[in-house]
Amino acid sequence: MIGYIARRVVQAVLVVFVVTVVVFILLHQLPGGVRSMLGKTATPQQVAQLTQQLGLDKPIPVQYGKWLGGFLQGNMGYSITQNQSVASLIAERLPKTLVLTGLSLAIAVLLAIVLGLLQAVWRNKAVDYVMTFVAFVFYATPTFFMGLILVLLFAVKWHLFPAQAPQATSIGGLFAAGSGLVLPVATLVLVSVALFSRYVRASAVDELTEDYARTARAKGAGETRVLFGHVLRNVLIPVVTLLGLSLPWVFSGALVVESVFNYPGMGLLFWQAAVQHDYPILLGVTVIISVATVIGSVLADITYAVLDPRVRYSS
Amino acid sequence: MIVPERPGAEPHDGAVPESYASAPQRGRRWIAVVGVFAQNRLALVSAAFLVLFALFCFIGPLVHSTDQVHTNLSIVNLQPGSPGHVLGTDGQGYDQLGRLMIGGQTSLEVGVAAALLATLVGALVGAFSGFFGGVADGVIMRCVDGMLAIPTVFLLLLLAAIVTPTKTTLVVIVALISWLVTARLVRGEALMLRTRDYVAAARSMGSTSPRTVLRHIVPNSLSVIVVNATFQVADAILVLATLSYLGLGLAPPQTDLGGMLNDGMNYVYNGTWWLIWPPGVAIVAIVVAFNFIGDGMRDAFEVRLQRR
Repeated sequence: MIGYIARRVVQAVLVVFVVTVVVFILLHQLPGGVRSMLGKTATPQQVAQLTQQLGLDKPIPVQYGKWLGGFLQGNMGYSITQNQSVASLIAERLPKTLVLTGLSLAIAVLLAIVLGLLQAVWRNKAVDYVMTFVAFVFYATPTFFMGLILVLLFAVKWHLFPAQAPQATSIGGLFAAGSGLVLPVATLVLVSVALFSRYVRASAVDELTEDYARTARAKGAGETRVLFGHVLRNVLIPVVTLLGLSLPWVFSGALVVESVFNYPGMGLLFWQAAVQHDYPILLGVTVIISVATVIGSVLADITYAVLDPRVRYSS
Repeated sequence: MIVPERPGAEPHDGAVPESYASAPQRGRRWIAVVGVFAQNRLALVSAAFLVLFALFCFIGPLVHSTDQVHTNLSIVNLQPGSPGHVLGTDGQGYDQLGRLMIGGQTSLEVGVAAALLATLVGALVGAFSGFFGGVADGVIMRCVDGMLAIPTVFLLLLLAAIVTPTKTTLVVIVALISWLVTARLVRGEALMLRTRDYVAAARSMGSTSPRTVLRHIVPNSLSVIVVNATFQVADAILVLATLSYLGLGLAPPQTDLGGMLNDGMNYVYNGTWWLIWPPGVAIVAIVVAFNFIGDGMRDAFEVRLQRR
């Protein structure tokens, strides 16, 4: 078990290292570089001065080494457009994104388990087909379109919820203006329920036809008891993995939701940085979000191995 | 190079191995694939819809000719049903129906081109990586893992920040994101196929490595590649729409379906539902259609595998 965890962690560190290298090289292709930061009226002297100040005149490996050294000490440089360090910007924004994604994921998974189990029980009946079709359509719906539909209906037409996310600086403030959270969270829930419920259904259909389920039925257990007493816990195992693997997808969705509802999270920060070519923010956020993704998948793998002993011995 | 052991080789069940299949058999197999696909009504309806939508986008402007280049601020946000504007006009005075046509054109063109490019690159990288194995394979696959660890939309914005958006650069950006999954899938196929007898036979007859990959590994992974390419088109159209929605797509007056939603969002409080629903529903319909076709093809090819 410890060997398995150690292998996964080493792999994860390697992946994060690759991410930093890839992103670092990519960002050095930014057009205009320093000139685009200073604007068209900058003199060549000013450009040269800032280039030197930012260390951009050194070879890329040297710059990378310097950046990595700083990063490991929590120093990710300064934003070009906002007079703040990247680390403090991320510290301010990351918790809000985690609130949005965490809340949405929790609701989505619960809903998906209920819907998926119902579909498995009613498999190949009309209800199942309709639900599968709806899930298919929701899955194909771009997150921003889903968000816009909710805004059109619930904010513009019926005036039930605000179309703006709360702009509070603290987490408590977010919840104090809770009605503003409803539409962003609902958007993310709707698009992810479709993804999760398909897996829960498939997994539950498999489990319901397993030998142990048949044995339970033969011993006189009712269908409800088979479902909740026996099948449910086995269905949950793949859901754990799915949760871990869906993290990059959820973060992507969160970025779009944040831009639709002007939710002050990390995605909005990243989006603005991309539009304004704010290179230190792009670099810092990409690495942090990738680390979060990788940690998520490692945790999912470990949980999976704990829950299902077959995994750790086979790999 | 020593031919690796064959732990994954399939047990012989008396059937003729695929490598000995003669040309007519191969032809018949493709007919069987088409046959199974044709029985799938959902896939057929989807294909018909896509043909109609493509006609609408590419032939439509000849029938319903509108100015999609010059703004006309005297006819801004007209209601659907206004004279000459069945779907109304948008915030720049463009006819919305005509806009839907040129937006659809861009989405289809870029989506299909990006999917093809991604499939080509992904299939070649995956096939060579899996075939050669060893250090090169390890390095390539760790790079793929690393890029896959960056959430799609983040990678997308990162790439989009670097280039000036034109149709060509958008194709390249979307393909750069999409090829990763194809490469992984085809690598898996290549790992399995390189242990087959006919590959060993081809090598013993002096087939060079590139030739073996291109003549044996890639053609025999074709079903996986084709099915995946269909799903890639759906994903590429979604990715492009997201990029345009976030304002990093084509510059006006060009647009795509996602860009139209970005424009429409500015007027959402005026209740201009016709700027949101048509392009949005079009995206969903196209993506659902490509997914159904992909499902149909997967089923068709799997049947082929069973009947082998």
